[in-house]
Amino acid sequence: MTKFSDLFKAMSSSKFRSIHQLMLLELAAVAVSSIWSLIRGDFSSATLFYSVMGWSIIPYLVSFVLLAVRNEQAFTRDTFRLAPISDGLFYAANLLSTVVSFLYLLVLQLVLMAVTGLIGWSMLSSMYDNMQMSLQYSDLGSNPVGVCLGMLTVMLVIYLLAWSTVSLVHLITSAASNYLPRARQRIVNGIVYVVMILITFRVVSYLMGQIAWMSSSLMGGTTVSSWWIGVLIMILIIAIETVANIFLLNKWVETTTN
Amino acid sequence: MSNVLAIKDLAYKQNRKTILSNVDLELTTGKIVGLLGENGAGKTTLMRLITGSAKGKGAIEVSGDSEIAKRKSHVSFSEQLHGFSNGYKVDQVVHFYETIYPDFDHARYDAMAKFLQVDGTKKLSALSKGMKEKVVIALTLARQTDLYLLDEPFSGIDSMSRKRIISSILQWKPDDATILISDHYVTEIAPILDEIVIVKDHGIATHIGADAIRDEKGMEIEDYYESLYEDGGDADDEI
Amino acid sequence: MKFDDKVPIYYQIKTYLYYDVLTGKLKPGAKLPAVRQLAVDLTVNVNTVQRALTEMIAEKTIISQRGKGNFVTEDQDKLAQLKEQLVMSQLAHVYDQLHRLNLSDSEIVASLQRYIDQKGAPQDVERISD
Repeated sequence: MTKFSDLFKAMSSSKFRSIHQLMLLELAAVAVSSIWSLIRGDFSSATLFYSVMGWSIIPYLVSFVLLAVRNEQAFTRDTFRLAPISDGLFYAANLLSTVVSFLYLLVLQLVLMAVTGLIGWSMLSSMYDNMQMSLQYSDLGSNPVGVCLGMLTVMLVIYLLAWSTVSLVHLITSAASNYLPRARQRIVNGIVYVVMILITFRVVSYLMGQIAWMSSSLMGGTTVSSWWIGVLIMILIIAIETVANIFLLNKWVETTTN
Repeated sequence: MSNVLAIKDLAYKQNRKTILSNVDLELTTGKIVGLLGENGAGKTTLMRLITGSAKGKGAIEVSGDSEIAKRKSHVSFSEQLHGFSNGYKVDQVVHFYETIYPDFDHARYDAMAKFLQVDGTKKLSALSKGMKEKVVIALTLARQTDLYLLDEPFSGIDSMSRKRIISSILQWKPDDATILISDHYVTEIAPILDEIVIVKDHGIATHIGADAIRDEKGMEIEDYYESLYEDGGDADDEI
Repeated sequence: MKFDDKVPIYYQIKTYLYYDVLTGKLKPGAKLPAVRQLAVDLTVNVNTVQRALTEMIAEKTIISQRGKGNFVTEDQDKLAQLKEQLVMSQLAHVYDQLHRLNLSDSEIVASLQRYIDQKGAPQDVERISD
């Protein structure tokens, strides 16, 4: 039988590969835009940092999609599914390796920011001082570690929820595709997509509200204890989806044929 | 001799169409068994049901275990490495196998890879069809399991590669293990088979010893195989 | 080695090994290759080789020594007997074929004599594969 840690290792390394490829693309983009400012003649020591900041949203979005694709592939590829391990542990190793790969990307992004920030420090230090001043009177100023961890938690929970939902949709449609005649398959797929899009919209709009409220309360210095309720609700949904996903995996989801 | 595989009353439908029904099959240890049948007869499906990759109805036991996760630990299937992107090098795939399969024997793999002239530094995308099949065979046989399922290892492969692959199967097959090889062209593997299982009309049409066909019926295996199709049995073209 | 798929493989392996013994490729008392090696060399299944060897052991043309392997018998009578057997089976085949052409026994002997004269001194017996 395959050990959980070994499967996790194997799955992570295949996802880290995707992250590395993404980082290379980002570095290429940063290089190109920096060369562009060099040509235009407004290159300074802080250009690299601005360029990294400018591109930074892209890796987060792309990595989400990339990791979702890798995550789903593992469910329907014999390469992974033939590992002798229970479906529950398989699911856990897969999702955990996805999360860890995302955290890895986060760390790489921070390193990139820190390195380029240090290069341009002479120009950026005054900006940093201004930021310090404005933050001093908010929650972030008084408890920076706690707030950062809180934000990270919320972000991870949102990502987890999104990945679990993508899995649920994928596994339902995959199970249905084996069992129903082709004509009815399309109807079921259609219904699943519509329902999922509706639910996703609801959840996203709810989350947006939560985040907006949360950031205002963070910055405004009011108490932030109640936003944990939102996180708890999301965790509950994740738990339900996880159980459903493992059940589907165990009973109905087949791998794609060679 | 004990059973390495015991299938009872197995049925499988896909999109409400029957692919296999009433399948009963028992294989004993230490054999090389040919799984024959037309394209789309259900040979691959049968193998996928044994590994648990496809979900059917009925009982499947491999080395006495029916639970899917345990079954997987007794079965090595020649999967086609679709889980790897093309940029993967052969050695990286080997490392993956070594990580997730505790029964993967690296020394065995190395010996086979050397015999089959596999270049580990090559990317998957750079492999010819024959070379890729050699990698798949070496990976599949490098695991130390009770049952090996080789799904059409010779389709589209030149005769030199085929001979090498056949030799490596003979050389590295563990004594007690059973190998099930599917093929729709019998002659190329006929001399190495102990037994033959023919899939036809959603079920197992025959399960017979290879020398029994030659001895008792005085027929070539290929002729015997074709004779089963002559008496009006309709072949099935669904996958 | 090429096999005739109509004839049981184990039987063909036996014939193959007997030829090796009688042509001197395998000397009396020589050790036979290991079962798996034979299987790989001949591209046949290990079980089939085992079956052929078991029959040869039963016929006492090879001797199995526990833990050491299989050896060609050194019993000259046995080898002579084996040779006679193979010669007779080849002749039976030829005889049968010629008989079907309505040759009488004396005609067969005469034509065989003629053939040998024409060919000079034949060095080797052609292997008949079917």
